[in-house]
Amino acid sequence: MPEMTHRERIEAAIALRKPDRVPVAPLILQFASRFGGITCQDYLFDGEKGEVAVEKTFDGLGGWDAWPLFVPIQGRSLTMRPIKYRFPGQELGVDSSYQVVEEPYMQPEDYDVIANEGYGAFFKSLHRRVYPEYRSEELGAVRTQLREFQLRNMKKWEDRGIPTISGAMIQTPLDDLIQYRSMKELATDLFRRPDKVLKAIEVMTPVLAETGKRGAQGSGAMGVWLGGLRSNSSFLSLKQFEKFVLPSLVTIVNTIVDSGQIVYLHFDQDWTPNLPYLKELPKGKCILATDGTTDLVKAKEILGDHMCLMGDVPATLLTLGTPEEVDEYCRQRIEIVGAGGGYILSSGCELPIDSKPENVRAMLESVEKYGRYS
Amino acid sequence: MADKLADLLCELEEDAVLAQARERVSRGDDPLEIIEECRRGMETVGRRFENKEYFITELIMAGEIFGAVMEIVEPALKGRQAATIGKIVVGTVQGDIHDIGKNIVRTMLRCSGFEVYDLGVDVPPEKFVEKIKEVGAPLVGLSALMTTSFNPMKETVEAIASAGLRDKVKILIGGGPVNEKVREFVGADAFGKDVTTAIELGRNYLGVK
Repeated sequence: MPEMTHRERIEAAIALRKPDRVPVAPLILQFASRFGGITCQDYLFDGEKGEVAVEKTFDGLGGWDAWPLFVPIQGRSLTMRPIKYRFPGQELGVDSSYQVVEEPYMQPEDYDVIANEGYGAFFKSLHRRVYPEYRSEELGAVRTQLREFQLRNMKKWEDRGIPTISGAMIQTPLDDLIQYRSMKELATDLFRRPDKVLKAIEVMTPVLAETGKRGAQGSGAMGVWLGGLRSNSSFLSLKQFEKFVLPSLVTIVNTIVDSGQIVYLHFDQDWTPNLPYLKELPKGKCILATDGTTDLVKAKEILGDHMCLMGDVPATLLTLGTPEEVDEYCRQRIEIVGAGGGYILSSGCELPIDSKPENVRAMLESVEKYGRYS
Repeated sequence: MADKLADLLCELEEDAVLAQARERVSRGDDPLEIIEECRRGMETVGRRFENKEYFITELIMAGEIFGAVMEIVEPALKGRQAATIGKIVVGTVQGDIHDIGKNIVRTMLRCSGFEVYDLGVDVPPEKFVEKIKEVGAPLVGLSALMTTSFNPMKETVEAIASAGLRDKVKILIGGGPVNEKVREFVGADAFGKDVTTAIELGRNYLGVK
């Protein structure tokens, strides 16, 4: 088979065709700090240092086929969301990865605010409550700066032949609510005030769909990152999934796909029982990226002729495993999940900051060793 | 009538459970009996979770209802305590602030009769050692969500050993990325993939049932 470009390889996999070989695209968030020789603090808060570290990481490891998300990730872009974090160099050591502080930022009465005043108005008011130090005019300026930085980096990598899969990031409405309410409070809301939760989700759905669609349009990226971290069987029942997740998921994906873009489903935790529902999403237009918890072999059986699969070298294997173990894991994934195309090898969720470089190399090299299609 | 409270609890009928608990307390029923019935309800909840009829949302909701019942019966206990099966010290290890999983495990352990000492998050090894000594707990549960927490977990196990407590306590670990490989690296006695496994391991180590 003639050699494909990186973009052609990824596009073939998404369209469920056979590329020349299995593409590989690890999710690089904070790993590039330690491997790139800078602190995680500098990586997150000094854009130029971050860019250099990303280039050093890519070149030092011999490269790959795509960035699942624009790089480098910026600490300030995280604080554009109305939730708190602990950051390296602030509350944490300079070389630690950032962590989300999960608290009930949103109160039960806020469901009515979403329903009556809209998601945008609620989002702004919650952000003011969580980050009173940001003034609103400043917020707009920061957003613009961050966006320009992301666009410039996506362009830079595209010029080097490495496409970015996700040019904008959203998550399911329920996942947004879980982060604002905290997992514990949201769980009780599903029993104490289900109608209010549902109404809020209905209001949020078109707003998130448009945010994702417009955010990625014109960015040069292939599509939109749609996160599903807890809206699966690791948290809720199938009955709850059908009610609180599936309708919004279908609407959001269809809106984005109708605009000519693809959807990168960044689905952590256990989606195995939820897999059959994903057949409702448009064929050949989504990537299902899992973190090692979902049974990817089962996903191949159920969705292999419907959706590109991506993943899922587990975080623990990358940090505590040996190169031989990683090689063997990847070989099996390539042979089973990669059979006939429609598969992209990747880390399960983020490549951990403390992944052993030799393990990352073993993952990257496995696609040449085992992944050539005839 | 005897099992009504247990049934209502495992069906997550919050209002009915609380109404009945209040009524029975005001009627002068034995508060320990009320707690015991709720525990039976929680056991059913745990079984349903194991059978994948219930999920984390149901566990959290059941734990909330159980906690509310405890508040209602508390004054009537007048210092008496429900029988416990053993002590366990739990916490999220140093450098890690994730506590959702740990809190669910804590609640379910309490409902299962464990006396739980929760040290919170970002707990340094010496805090675990101090608490184990102070309360004489034969069980410790270490939680972590990040791969970077494996080393602090290992250091905690080592600190427990240096304090001469290693053969006096069983160390259980849990959290998203934790598996047999991590258990081996850390030097813990066992890992729990979910909350029901954690309870079962704890009971086995204590020799209960």
